[in-house]
Amino acid sequence: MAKCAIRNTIRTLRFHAGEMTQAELADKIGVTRQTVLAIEASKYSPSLEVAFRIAEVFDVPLGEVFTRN
Amino acid sequence: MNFSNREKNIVAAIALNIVVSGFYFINVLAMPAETKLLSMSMFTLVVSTSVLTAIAGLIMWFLANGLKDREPEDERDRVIAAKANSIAYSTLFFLVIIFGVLIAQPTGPGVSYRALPTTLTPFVLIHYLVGILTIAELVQNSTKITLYRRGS
Repeated sequence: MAKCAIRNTIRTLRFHAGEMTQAELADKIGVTRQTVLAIEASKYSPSLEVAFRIAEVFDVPLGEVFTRN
Repeated sequence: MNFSNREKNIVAAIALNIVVSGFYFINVLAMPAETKLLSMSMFTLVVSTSVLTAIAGLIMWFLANGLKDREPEDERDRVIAAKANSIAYSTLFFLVIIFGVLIAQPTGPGVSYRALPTTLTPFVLIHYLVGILTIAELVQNSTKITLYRRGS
């Protein structure tokens, strides 16, 4: 099965959340800043738990954070 | 290059591995193949290697971390560790198989080439295996640093 690329809008959501830093987001979702950086650059796909926590931090549905290419 | 705390620790582990195993194997290579595993020279080498590991380990730790606490592990660290372990175990398995095949190679008249020395004493055998374990550990840490640097 072909691997589908997942894009995300975390950078935009951080901007709209008052320029929240990667470190602040990392603290809120319980991962390291490097992991947030990797997720944001679409180099690492997070677990469902982390994906839901990101959506909860920005108070948006999961589909608004992650979209399929 | 900008390294994260975790990456610095892995680089320190690789450097420690190279320094300690380099010291150990340089000394081992200077010993005759007939050296007994339970001998004074081996005891001295193991004790001096342990002391070197402790001292070099402390130095590397302070160089990598300073006085900061170690960051807690997250899910990406565990994924990277699992991938690195899988590659390291495959390397270990592959090298042990190759080693086994080379040991089983026939000796005697008519055999013109032999990859391993003919004097396969317990001392030599054990150190081939220690060498294989060292290579597997280097592969594990190198895989980790590659995966972290790639951002995967």
